[in-house]
Amino acid sequence: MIEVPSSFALITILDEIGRWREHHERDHAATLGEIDREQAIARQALEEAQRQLGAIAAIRREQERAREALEDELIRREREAVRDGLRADREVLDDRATEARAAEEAREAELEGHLDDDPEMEAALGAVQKYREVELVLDRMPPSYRRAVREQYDRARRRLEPVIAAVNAPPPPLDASTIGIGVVLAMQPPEGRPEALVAVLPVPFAVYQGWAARPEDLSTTLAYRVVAAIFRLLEDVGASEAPVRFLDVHGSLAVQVWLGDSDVPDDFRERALDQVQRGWDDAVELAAASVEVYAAWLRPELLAEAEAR
Amino acid sequence: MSGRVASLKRMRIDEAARRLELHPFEVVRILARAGQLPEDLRLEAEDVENVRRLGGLETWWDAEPVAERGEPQARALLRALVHKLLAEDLVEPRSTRADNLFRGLGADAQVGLRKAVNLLIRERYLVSRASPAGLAISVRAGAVDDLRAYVSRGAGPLAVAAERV
Repeated sequence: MIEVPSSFALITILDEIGRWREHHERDHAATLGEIDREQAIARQALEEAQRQLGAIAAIRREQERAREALEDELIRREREAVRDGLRADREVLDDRATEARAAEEAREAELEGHLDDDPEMEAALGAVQKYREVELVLDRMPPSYRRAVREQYDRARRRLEPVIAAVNAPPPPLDASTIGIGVVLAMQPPEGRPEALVAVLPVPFAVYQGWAARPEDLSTTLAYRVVAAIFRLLEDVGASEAPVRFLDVHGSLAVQVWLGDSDVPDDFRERALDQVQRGWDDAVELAAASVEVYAAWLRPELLAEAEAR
Repeated sequence: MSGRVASLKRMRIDEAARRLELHPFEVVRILARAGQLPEDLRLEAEDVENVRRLGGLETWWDAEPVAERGEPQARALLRALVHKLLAEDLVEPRSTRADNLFRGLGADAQVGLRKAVNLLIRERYLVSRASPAGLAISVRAGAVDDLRAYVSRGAGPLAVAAERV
């Protein structure tokens, strides 16, 4: 058995070491306890911050949804405004057409009165009307008869020249305030190389679809002028073969041109505007009815029918 | 006696369209493309003839074709139409406006002719293509012999298909 040497001094030192160790262990334990508490506090704070982050993210998503809904609502309102604007302009133009027709009928009635007072004129008118009845079959008549009928017709026309000039003069101007109506233009896509052009007119679709059953009026002539402008434009830009369709957009007549297969110039939009503007610059009947037409470019999605709600 | 003065007015576009058996927008298209649309949108009788010329309008019928003994009218129309298509030498790439095929016929005969045209397109004797003036029609190059056989002898595959009209 090995004898362990000991002495009081050694024991004392060992005791001190033991106490030193206990002291430090207590310190460490206290410090670690403190750290644990701090960690718990920090973890709690982190969890709270994460909860807050989650809540903020949810609020953000909600706001984004609200913003999208706002955009939809904006488009819906703009579409509604376009539809209402076109309808209002259709009604305005229709009212002016009624007034213009009445003014023209009044002028014709006055001219009729002059005819009643002039038997020579009346006879000449009878000769013209008779000619109209046989005009289409005249080529099948003997040459001498044909010549005689034509000579008689020419004499009658010369006699009627003042009446013919008066009845074919520009429409009588209306004593009415000037009104403005809009033609809506849209290009798809709105920027860059155009693939489609749409013009929506403030005239009913019946101007196209039901033309045979309705009188030619201001709405019809406006449509003729825009249609002519579009075909002139296509000719001008070398796209005369581009397909053209006539559509019903919000109850109004729309002219749609497919340009996807045509190589149209960069200034197509400017040329389109020039041509349609020229269309109503020439329009004596619109000027007489105190109707001004303006064109407005809109985003194409505003011309789509409102989605079912 | 109202309307006497109105009879002295120059023609409206819709009146010209009725005379030409066209839609008024087509009258506008033809004149606008040629730069000849009058500013006041009123036409003289000679303008109507001008539209006819500029637009390539033709009146193909001055009377309905006479049906042979026991032949339905629709088949008489088909036979007469094929004869006219060959006589006009409308073999692709030459073509004519589809509405030319109908001009001059009464409403009932037009319905019968439409069936005949549909049959010829369906059976690939005719080809159609979209144009700004509407459909344009041509005889398919490979179909000429069969069409000739039908017109001259009432024979060939078209004779069989024609039994359906």
